[in-house]
Amino acid sequence: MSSASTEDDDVPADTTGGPSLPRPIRFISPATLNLHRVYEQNRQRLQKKDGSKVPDPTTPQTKGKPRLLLMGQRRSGKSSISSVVFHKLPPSETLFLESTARIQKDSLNSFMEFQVWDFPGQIDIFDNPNFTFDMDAIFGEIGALIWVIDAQDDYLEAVARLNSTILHLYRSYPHINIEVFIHKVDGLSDDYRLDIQRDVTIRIQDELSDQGVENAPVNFHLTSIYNHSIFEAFSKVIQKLIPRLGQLEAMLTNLCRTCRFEKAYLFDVNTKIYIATDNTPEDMASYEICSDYVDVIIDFTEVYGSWPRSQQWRERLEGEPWSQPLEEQVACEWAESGMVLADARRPIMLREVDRFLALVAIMKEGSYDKMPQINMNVDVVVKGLTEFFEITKPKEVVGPAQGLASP
Amino acid sequence: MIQGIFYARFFPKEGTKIVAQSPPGCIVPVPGASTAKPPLLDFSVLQEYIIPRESFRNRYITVADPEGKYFVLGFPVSIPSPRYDRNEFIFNFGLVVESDVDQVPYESVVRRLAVTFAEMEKQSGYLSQDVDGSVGENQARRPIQSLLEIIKEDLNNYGECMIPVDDANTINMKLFPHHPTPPEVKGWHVPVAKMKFADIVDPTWDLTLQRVIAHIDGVSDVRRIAFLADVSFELTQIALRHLLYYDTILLLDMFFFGACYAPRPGIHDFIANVGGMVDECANYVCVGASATSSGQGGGGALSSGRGGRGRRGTEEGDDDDGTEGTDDGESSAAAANGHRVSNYMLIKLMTTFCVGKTVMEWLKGHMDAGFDVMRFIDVRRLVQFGVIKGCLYRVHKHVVSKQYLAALATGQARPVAGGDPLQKYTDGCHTFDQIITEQNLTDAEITEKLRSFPAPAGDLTVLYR
Amino acid sequence: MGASPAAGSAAGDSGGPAAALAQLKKVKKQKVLLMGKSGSGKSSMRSIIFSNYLARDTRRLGATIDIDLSHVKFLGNLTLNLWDCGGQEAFMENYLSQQRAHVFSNVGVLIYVFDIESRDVERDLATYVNIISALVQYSREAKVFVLIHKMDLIQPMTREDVFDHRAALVRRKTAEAVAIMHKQKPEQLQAQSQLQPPQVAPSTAGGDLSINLQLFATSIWDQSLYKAWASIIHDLVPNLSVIEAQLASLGLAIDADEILLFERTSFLVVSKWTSREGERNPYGDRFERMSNILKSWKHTCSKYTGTPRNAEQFSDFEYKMGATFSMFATKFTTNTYILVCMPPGEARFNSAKLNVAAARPWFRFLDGPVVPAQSAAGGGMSSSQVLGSTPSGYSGEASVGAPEN
Repeated sequence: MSSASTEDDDVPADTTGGPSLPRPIRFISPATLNLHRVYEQNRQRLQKKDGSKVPDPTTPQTKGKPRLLLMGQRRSGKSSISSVVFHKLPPSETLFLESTARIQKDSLNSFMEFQVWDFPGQIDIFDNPNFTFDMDAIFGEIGALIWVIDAQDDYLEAVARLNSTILHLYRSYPHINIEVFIHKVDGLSDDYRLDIQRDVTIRIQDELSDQGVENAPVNFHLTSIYNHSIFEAFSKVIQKLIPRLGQLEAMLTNLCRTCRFEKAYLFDVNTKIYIATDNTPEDMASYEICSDYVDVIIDFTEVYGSWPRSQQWRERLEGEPWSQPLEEQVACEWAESGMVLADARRPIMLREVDRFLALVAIMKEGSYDKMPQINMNVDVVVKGLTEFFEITKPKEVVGPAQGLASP
Repeated sequence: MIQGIFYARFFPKEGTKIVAQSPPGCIVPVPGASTAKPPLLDFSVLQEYIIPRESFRNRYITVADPEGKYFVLGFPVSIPSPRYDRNEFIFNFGLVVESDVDQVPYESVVRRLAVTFAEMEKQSGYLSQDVDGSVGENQARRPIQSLLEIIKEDLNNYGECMIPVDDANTINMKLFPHHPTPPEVKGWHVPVAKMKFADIVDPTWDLTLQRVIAHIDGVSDVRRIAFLADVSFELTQIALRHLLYYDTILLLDMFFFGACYAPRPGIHDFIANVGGMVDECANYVCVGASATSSGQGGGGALSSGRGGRGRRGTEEGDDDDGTEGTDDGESSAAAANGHRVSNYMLIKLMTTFCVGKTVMEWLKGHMDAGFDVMRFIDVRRLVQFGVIKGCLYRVHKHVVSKQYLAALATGQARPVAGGDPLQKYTDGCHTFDQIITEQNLTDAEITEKLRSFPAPAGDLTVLYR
Repeated sequence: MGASPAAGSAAGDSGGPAAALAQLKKVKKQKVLLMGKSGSGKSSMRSIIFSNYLARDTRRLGATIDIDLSHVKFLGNLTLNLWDCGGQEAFMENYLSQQRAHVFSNVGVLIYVFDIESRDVERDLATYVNIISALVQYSREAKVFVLIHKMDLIQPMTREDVFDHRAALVRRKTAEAVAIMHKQKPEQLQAQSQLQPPQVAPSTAGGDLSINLQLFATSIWDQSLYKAWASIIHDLVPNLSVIEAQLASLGLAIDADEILLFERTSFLVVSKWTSREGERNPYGDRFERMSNILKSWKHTCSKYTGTPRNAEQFSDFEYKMGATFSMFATKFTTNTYILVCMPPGEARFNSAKLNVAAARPWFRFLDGPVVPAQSAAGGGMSSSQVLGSTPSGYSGEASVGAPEN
């Protein structure tokens, strides 16, 4: 679980970038301070990378990474989404975010490297008299276009703009996934949410078929930053970009069956997006508890694991009667954690796969006694996953090790 | 009397406040009013019951003020809704009444106010939009203050009110006097009117009631009235019960010369002539004096009832003709009137009823003593007067069969079909009056039948009680 | 391995055994006044701390009418009589006049809540001064905690300034109020101040007649609420020295870096012990942060399992972060949870878990006033000797959880 801290540490504390951003100076709560520190550093780093207003396609970092474009009307919540999902900003703090004036680029160093581009709502990239955008630079390597619609606002104009965007893109880049986030649905009744979703869907599809475009790859998600729905939606978006997702899912399914797990998720720890799960039906509740578990672990890691221990401490622990380096006193080099739910003594476990990924699983009742065997199986799967990502990085996939022992 | 009426509301910032009250200053002093009478009660003490905590809301609450002089009747309403600041709108329309009045009629008023305004608030925010309870910007609307004033005045003066609050809502309320549920009306009861129905009845009255009323003459029993009015027995009972509820009739028993009467403690008042009772009696029973009154269809109303509220003098003012003033000098009064029986004589008559002596025997005794009762006195009216005024009571006659009781006790008594119809009356719970009306027999016939009752000698006993 | 040599020494260092026993038997009832203007968030924070509400659930709360009395059983031998006083002007007047003696006498703690967003600061302060005056009049020794609440509504970068400014204002007003009371009844107060030892607190306002005042910036949306409330209850917990001494012996015995003891319902930190190495932890706010994390985790579990929020939600949490550290949190006594953070190492971890379980009888007095303290003390440690030497490495896993229940 070193990711959260180490990533911060790599970043040089450079403050030259970001002239227009408010620079928080003092805070009441150190925890908030920390969140802001992470957030600021990310922004600064990005701004250093692409200081110019126009995206520069030749910047080496942006090459070869799938890109998520966040677009939508002004104040539809794009920046809030990226702050909450990619910078762990508490949702309540997004009230203080200023509106985005230029394209905001975040790079996501996870198991895959993503870029997230946050487009200011006021810019219409297809119809801008002052400036011509380099379409290829923007859409050339796009992974998905995320269009955010504010469900609590009048969305007709947003839908119209989305339609023209789709029509523009469909001709040149027909393979772009278009993901529509019907956003800010917290506070709306369930019925009303579904009504809006239906309405938006029909409006877009009618318009598109009028223009002769059938079967455009448009998906819809109901989202809110105040609950897990935004993470769930991002998970779906990201999963479409993962090569060989089926293999991953098969591994998790196999693990669940062998170890009597109710549900297993492979999480990207930084964003709490899950990149794969087993093939049992989707279940928001289990996603929520697993994702909160990741949060708990991250918090504990930060408080107790992010500061260096003294040399004396280490010497004492490695001396008599142990006489072993600390690394050899532990069973597992990555983070591992377990917890038992009180109601039916159902264990939940978490195991880090690498710097970015963690396997989180909820077990069935009564599997607490079998923890040792389960741990061994998890070990095997984790090894398999590591191999998987080793292999998928350069592209081609070889079937990972899947030999599981039966508990 | 409603001493005060108020509208209290809970404000999220200020707390409980009286928004409107009538008369002004009855609950909390009105700022600026110079002629301030002190408030009826200490609002700061009672406020936690005017807007109480949650468990007391949405129910009828009465609170006595610490001095015990007044009661506050209220119905705190809480309307939970996220559209209100602090998620709740809490108000109370309350009345202040003196602690000794009957609160029951006011309860429905309080409930009605609560329900009406709660509904208006839910539908249109009537109360929450009313900024300070006084003149709002909406001129078409009647301020609650004046509304309360009208309600209070109308209820106090007319016992009812009908006030349009807005286009859609009118508050109709009436103070209904509350009486206890009247006893059941039996077939052998004789209703006696306490007022002249002929004067107040009008064609809008219930038809059955009209027909029944026409036959209330102080003589006919209920069964007879039902027969004469051509109304079913049950309906007649119900109609009479209504009249009983409103305290317009009395129920007596049937008058027989064969019946027994005996004095009750109330006879002391009669002897002492409390409130001119004896004179009243004279008026009512003397044959000559009441000739006109009995001529008016026999239903001459009796001035006041046993349980009546306050004695309202004589209603038969037309045939009073000054007899009341001549309460002394009995012989002279009797002479002057020609028919007026002396008070001494009336008291003597009244006090000589006793257990074991039928009216017939009583009459005979006085006749023998040289006083021709029948000439001067309407005996039936004398007995009625005695019963109504609580001077006399009817000694009822019951018959008990030991055999039948024993059978009842062991649970095997089933009225045998075709068996003796009188058997079921022999458990001691039924008076002869009942047997007379239900079996349509006379007293003598019953006695005759009982004699031939198929039972061993000594089994049957007749009780006087 | 396992137990360190210091294991034998029990926690008997606070007076003689008889005195300690007497102290343990004492049940403390504390009257806690919760006051402040209407809508400042008194009931909300109370619901979060003691009734397991989520911050967003508090939006549904209605206004408090008059005084809402609740008895919170906090540990076995401490009961809080919480007087949640509705803050509407009419009620406030009532507390200060009609109910003055009733409300303000025998107060242990006054918690006064200011809404930072309030527009009429002058008036708020005037009310506050009246309350303080009444408190000084009837409960001279009460402690005062002032919470500047709803800080989340202030722009993050200006929060500290805003708080400092408001805190200075409150301090000044408090001192003024006390001074005025002093002038009014010099003899009476003099007499009282002689009886009690002078109280020295870093945040105490100046002046010879100061009252014990502490200020906190709080928000229901973050851990600041836990920090404030942990400080409030910290002073109220009886036998604190006993608890601390026993935690210290336990910590040394199992070689921990930090031990936190939480109350079961509120998850407030009742007591803590930190090793010398643990003191180097740069996160000064970690205690309230742990409260916040564990409590929100409890909510998550409750939502998932569908069991009531007040029910016990999890047991036996453990977390081993490679060669950096290990930790576990588990149900400890009936009223408490314990969290232990310690150096890495399987063997160390497993024996610490068993030792903590074995130390439970030591702390049984937290569940109630009566305790056979003497017999429990030695027993806890002796079992640690038994479990000394598990070979380090993977196989140690097998024993995890075995001795539970």
